[in-house]
Amino acid sequence: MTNAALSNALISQVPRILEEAAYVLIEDTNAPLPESYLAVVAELDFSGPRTGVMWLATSAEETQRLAEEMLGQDHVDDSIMGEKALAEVLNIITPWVLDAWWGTNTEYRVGTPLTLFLNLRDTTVWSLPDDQRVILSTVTGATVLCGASLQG
Amino acid sequence: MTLAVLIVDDSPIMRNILKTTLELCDRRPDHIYEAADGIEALEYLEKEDISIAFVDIHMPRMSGLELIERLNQDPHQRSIAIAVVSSDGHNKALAPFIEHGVRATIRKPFHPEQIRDVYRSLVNIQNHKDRA
Repeated sequence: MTNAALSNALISQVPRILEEAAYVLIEDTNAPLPESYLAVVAELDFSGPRTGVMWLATSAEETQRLAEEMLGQDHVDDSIMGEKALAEVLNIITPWVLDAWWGTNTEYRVGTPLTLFLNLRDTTVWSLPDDQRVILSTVTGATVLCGASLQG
Repeated sequence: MTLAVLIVDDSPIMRNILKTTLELCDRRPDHIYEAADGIEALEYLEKEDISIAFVDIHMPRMSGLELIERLNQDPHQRSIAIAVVSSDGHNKALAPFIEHGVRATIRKPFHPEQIRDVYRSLVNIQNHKDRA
């Protein structure tokens, strides 16, 4: 069974939210898997018609840039703000993806986002099937991976 | 009229964005308070004379809906003009807030002008109440 509806939801929503919430401009929505790097990974549980975890991963430098774009450079006085920015972006992305996947009348629950540092190759989003994730490259050359791991 | 605004969101990033956006309004708030959840919000509401609140839905300890239900039970705090700011867009999640008298719902990501438009309308509502 393919996850075409999930794949379409990710492709239609993730680049748009990144641009609108964090001013991240996407150059390619079907980028190749990058070489591994130390990544900041945000995860967020969801449950509804399907249960799973939404993942968003990028480099620490890119998360810092996210924070600066969202808050303005003068307000980013703490390196942890990059992690918080990535968590907030995932918090925004997830309901939009679920709405696009399941429709706006479907009830679902989302948890609280968590972030961690991992080598990208050790993250769940790295090993997800292509129809459960998008790999985006930004105009600044960064890569952003977003996808959903599903139970059952 | 002194304008005190309370921002209730567990994301420090979102609180900061909302605060900066409100500070750039023509009629900027005299005071802006920030709370990370409903419990912290209630502490501010007991101490300060809040007239407008921007409230997230999903927060630890006390959610936005629980907070608004508590405010509706208190005759002194029922008059606070509330806007819900959330990533949620599905109708079943938002319906209880409308039933509880929330004045506006704003979906993230938002354009700063959306926040300013809602803020202006909430200020107008509170001005009308003061004159009445």
